[in-house]
Amino acid sequence: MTRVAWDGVSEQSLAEALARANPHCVEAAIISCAAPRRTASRSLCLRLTTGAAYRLPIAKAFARTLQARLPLSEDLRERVHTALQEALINAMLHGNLGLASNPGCDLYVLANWHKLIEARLTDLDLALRPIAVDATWTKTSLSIAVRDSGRGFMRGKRPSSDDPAAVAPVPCGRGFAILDALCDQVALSRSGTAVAFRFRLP
Amino acid sequence: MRFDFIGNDTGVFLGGELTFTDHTVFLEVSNRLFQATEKSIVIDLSKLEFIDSAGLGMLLITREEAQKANRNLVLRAPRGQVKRMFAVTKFESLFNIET
Repeated sequence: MTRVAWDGVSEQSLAEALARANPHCVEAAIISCAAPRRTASRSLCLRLTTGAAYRLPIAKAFARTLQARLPLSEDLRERVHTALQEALINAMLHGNLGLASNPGCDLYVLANWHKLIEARLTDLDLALRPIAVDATWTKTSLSIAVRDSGRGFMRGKRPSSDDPAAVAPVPCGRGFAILDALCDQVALSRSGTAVAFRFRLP
Repeated sequence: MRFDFIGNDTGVFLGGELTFTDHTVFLEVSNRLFQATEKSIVIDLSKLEFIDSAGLGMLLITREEAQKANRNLVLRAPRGQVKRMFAVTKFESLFNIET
């Protein structure tokens, strides 16, 4: 089992590293901390930092790599990309940076919220907190799990797609409703630090 | 995210992706839109290929700003993944959307 190191610099370098991963790709900044785990033969695993997740379109590259390895229609790739994007935002912001959702309905509150995020990312302990993305597949299904290093999401607070709050005119809080709508199955870990979602393959 | 203003900055084409990482560019675009004085503001989404929940939130904030300024905000021609996200989050009930 080999690990491919990713330099953490760009979407292009990530795509190249993922293409070589068999199945592990680890951001170089945390490679000494990321012990390889035994994985299923049909899998793709990425370990990255919170800082990289903030700066780069990780979900897009990961979904495109999956499409190159298994029979994903363009519709399914789009669903995978979208779901993974939402899971990564949650892992980064709420998990590893410990931030509540952006409270504002104002462009300047939004700007200040991002300044708060960027200030937190100057703390290397936070910026280097790992996020794990693990995809495994069979002939009939694709499962993806995203795990953060935070304190855990309270299960009772997870809004469903039927929750009126999920469609309220507020600028945040839609992530889980989107996962529920796009994935065939969604589950939160007991610790609240991991979300797993599954797609049926045709 | 790419953008291209229309006319006298009364509207803008958005292209590429509108995601969490695009807040700075989106803020610049919004500021320029609200400096124009026309009643209607049009955001053309026909070339926007991807949006996440953060991007949806930015559009909602723009809606709030338009309401405060007594302007009409129109979202034009969402397609593909963007149209799908609008359906999932029931954006058609919150925005004036032109196909």
